[in-house]
Parts: sequence; C-alpha cells; structure tokens
Amino acid sequence: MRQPGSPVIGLEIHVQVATESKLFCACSTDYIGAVPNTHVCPVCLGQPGSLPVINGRVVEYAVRTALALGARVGKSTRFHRKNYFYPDLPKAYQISQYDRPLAEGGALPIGEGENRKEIPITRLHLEEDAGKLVHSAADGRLGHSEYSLVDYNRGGVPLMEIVSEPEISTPAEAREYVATLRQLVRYLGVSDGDMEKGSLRVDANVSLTGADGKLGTKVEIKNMNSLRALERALDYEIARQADLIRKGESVRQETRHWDDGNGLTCGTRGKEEAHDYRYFPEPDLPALVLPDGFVEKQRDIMPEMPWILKERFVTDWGLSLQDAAVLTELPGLSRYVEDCVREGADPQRAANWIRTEVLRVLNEKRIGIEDFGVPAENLSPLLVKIDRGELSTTLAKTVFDRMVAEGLTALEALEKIGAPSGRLTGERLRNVIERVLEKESSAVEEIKSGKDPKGKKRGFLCGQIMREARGQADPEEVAKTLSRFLGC
Amino acid sequence: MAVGEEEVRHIALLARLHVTDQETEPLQRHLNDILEHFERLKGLDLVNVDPFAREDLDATPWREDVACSWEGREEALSEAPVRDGDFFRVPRILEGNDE
Repeated sequence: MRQPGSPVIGLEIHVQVATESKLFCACSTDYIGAVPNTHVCPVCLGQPGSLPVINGRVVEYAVRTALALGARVGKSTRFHRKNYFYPDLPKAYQISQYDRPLAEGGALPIGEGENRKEIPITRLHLEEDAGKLVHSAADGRLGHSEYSLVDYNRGGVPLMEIVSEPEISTPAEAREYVATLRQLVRYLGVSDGDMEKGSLRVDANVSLTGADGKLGTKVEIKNMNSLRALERALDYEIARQADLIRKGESVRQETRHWDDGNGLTCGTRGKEEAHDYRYFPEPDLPALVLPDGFVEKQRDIMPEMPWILKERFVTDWGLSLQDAAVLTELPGLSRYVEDCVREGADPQRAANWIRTEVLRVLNEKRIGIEDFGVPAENLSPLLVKIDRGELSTTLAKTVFDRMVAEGLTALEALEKIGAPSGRLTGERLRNVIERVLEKESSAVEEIKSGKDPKGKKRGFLCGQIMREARGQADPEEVAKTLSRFLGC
Repeated sequence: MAVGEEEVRHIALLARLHVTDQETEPLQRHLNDILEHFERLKGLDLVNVDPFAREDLDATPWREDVACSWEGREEALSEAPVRDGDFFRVPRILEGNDE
C-alpha cells in the first residue's frame, strides 16, 4: 500500500512520428518554419468527400516502438473519432484510437542497480495532430485577442500516444522515464524526440495518496517543454496539492498549465463538462489489420535497445556506468564508440577520448556526431598509438585538433605537424634502448634464458622503449634493434 | 432511448452552439426522431454480422510514405469565411489558459 501523501504520477506522451507525409494524406510533415497553410489538402482540411488512407510507415514505426516496450500488438485494431469543436481541428473531430489501441501492456525500464524499476505501459495508440492557432493580440495573449489565425500545416501529422500506468513515484523518476523513452525513440529512428520543437510532448497526471491509502484526486499538467520543466512542474504541483490537503481543502480535478517563467501551474477555467468527446468508430477507415508476418518482420529489424547496449558497455568493456550512460545517450554516439573499438581502439581509451575530446568539439561546433569530420576509422589509429606509447596524450591532442580542423587521418596530421622529423632512429634510438635495458635488466635476463616463450617480456620492453622515446620511434625498428641487442 | 432537455443543452454546448429556450424543444424532437429511427434498426437480426466494418480484410490497404504537395491551396484559402494572408481567421476563442 502506498504511504498517505505519497505522489502518484502517470504520464501521457505524444511522440511525433518521423515520417515524410502525414498520417492520413500525402501532405508534408515538415511544418516548422514553413509558410502557413502550404502543407494542406482536402483530407487534412476536412473537406467533405475526402477520405483518409493510413500511412504504412507510421504503422511500422509504431509497431517497432510497441515491440521495444514489450507491448502486445493487436492484430486488428481500429480508429475512432474524438469529437470536439475547436478551430485547430477543421473536421471537428480528431481521428484517434479508443477501445482497440494499436498496442497494450509492456514496460519501460528506468534507473540502475538498486534503483532499477520497470514502469508499466498502459497503451500505445495512433492519432493525428491538430493545427496551430496564432493569436492576434499585440501582447500575444489569447484573452486579449480580437480573433485567432489558424495554420493547418501541423494538422494530420502522425502522433503516437504512449500512456504509462500511474506507477511513477517521484518527479525525478518521471524525468528519467521521459529521458529513457526519448532515447528509445531516437534509437528506433521513429522520432527525433525533440521536446523543445514539440516532437515529444508530456502531459502528467498527478495525485497524492489519501490518508486511507487510496488514490487522491488527480490533476493533469500540460505545457512542459523540457525535462527540467517537467521535474519542476511536478515538484510544484505535488507541493501545491500537499498544501491544500494540509489546510483541509480539497484538490479539484482539473487541467493545469505549467508556466515556466513564473515556476507555477495555473488552472484553466474550461468546464470539465467539455471533456465529453462522444467517441464513435471512424466510418471512413477500415479496421487496421496487420498483414501476416508484419510484426515478426518489424521485430527482426529492431536495433539493440539502448539500456541493453549500456549494460553491455559496462560488462563487456568494463566502462563505468556513467561513461556507458553518456556514450549510449544518442544512437550515433554509441555507434561511433563501437566503430572505434571495432577498428582496434581500447574501449576505455575510446570512451575517455570521446567523452572529453570528441564531445568537446561537438559542443563547440554545435553539431551532432553525424556531422563530425573525423570518422571512427581515423580516430582509432590515433588511440592505438597512445596505448602503444607511440604518442603522448599531449601530442595526440595536437594531432587530433589538426585532424578535426583539416579533415586529416592520424598519419597525415602527424606528418604535417612534423612529428616524423623528430623520430628517433639509429644512434639515438640505440642509446634509448641501452638505457631501458639497463633499467630492466631482470627482464633481459629472463628473455635470454628462454623464460619468455610468449614474448610478453619482449613486448614489455618494446613498450618501455616507446615510452622513453616519447612515441617518436618506429615500432618495427624498435623491435628489430631490440632483437639485435638481445641477440635473439 | 430518448434525450431530455438537459442532454440537448449539453450537446449544444459540446457543439459550441447557442441554443435558445425556444429552440431547445424542437431540437429535442428532431434528435429523438433520429434516435427512434436507430431504435428501429436495432430490431434487425444481425446475429451473424460482424459489428466491425471490414474486419474480413487480410490486411488494410495503406499508403507509401511519400510527400507531395496539393495544388489547390489558394482555392482553399480563398473559400474561407475570413482569410488573413496565409491564414484562416477565426473568431476569438473563449476557452483555454488565458481566458
């Protein structure tokens, strides 16, 4: 049983599905910055006689998301009309799903170790987005405007609504849930998950457990455009409800808007009576029946889940949880690390270098890893050189900056910097080797008396020589010269 | 199943219609006439008919995800009751946050 006063949070998340065309017509979904009402047609303007036809890619992406959450995908589902009269909906109804959503059940894992928790998912369904209202008052406030202007470019853009069970206990958990879901849709490539652009919108239902342990009256909060705003809004709302209860007042069931500037939620005066959508089956669309083998095919092309990837980075590579979390945050970054390791770099070395150097460059240039000029196959040889002691970290950073600035490979950059001219060869190299052999005489003895069948000691000596030479010697030449010294 | 006066007012509110007291009674009658017609349909023997339209489909026909633009935009805008440049203009909205 829940403790009296403990928060109960459920989240409804609208995810904009990353398609070229709208959910039920061929208009472009590229509405940001577009001239108003240019991506419209009779279907999304709700003209009589027009008929919706569902976009197959939306179904694919939604099924993939459902599978990633471990939800049950319905073989046959259907659409409903959600009726309400508001100018952002030209048809006066939104095509949505009601009693037979595309998928039900499943869970999203959040947290690590002892704090690991699975948040159960209620359902995932498809629906169309509404248009945008632009308010005409000079101060931009709805209440002061004489009239409103409507842009239907966003109307009909596909959305997946993912509803969690009310089993989130703290604002921090809510934040983690949203962050994990965002990471998931990015890995699946089904949405850009950008909260500020509105591609991922969060509505939260919050209540406080009553003295009898039962659920209290829930309040819906909207308009949180970042993870931080979500956490702040929930903190505020929980405190507000607790305060009301402490004062012996009751919590009113309502929708409240988060005002980020002032850091508070405010109620709307809309009548609750208006939440009567008179759902009925959409007669213009047949049932959504998935072809045989469709779900299995989607399952086959699923990428590795980010939370599994993170675990693998920890167990297989010995990375810290924090390293693994940063490197798996975005699919492009985790691919980059994996490519570096595949090309021969040591995982920990790659992780450190990417977290410090690569992310620094990305932040400075304000670009994503996709636009980064140094591919993994170029970075990897540089990292290998550091590990072999052929390059000091300081010199490697100079080389790296050159690679970034001029798009060079590690070898090209080294040559440009002039590192090869300072290379230790001949007499100078022999001096270095002599010094190392003197210091490591016991290893020399072991090798000479045949106690180093696997060449480990020899490798150790090569490493010491490279270190002594500050990476300025050719490893092959070192090995050859060392053999001559050892006489074997 | 018949609708009463209260329900007519509620539906009018949902449909954002201003209905006067004089109009309520005739509207109630019209709605009940329609409902009565559906009551008659209920009498049909539909035991072996699937209630779900086209569930006999093996798979729903769907569209390739290809975007193309519609040529009729100008026409649509010019048919609007009030056009305002690139926008449709609608009366001031009396609901929502800032009311």
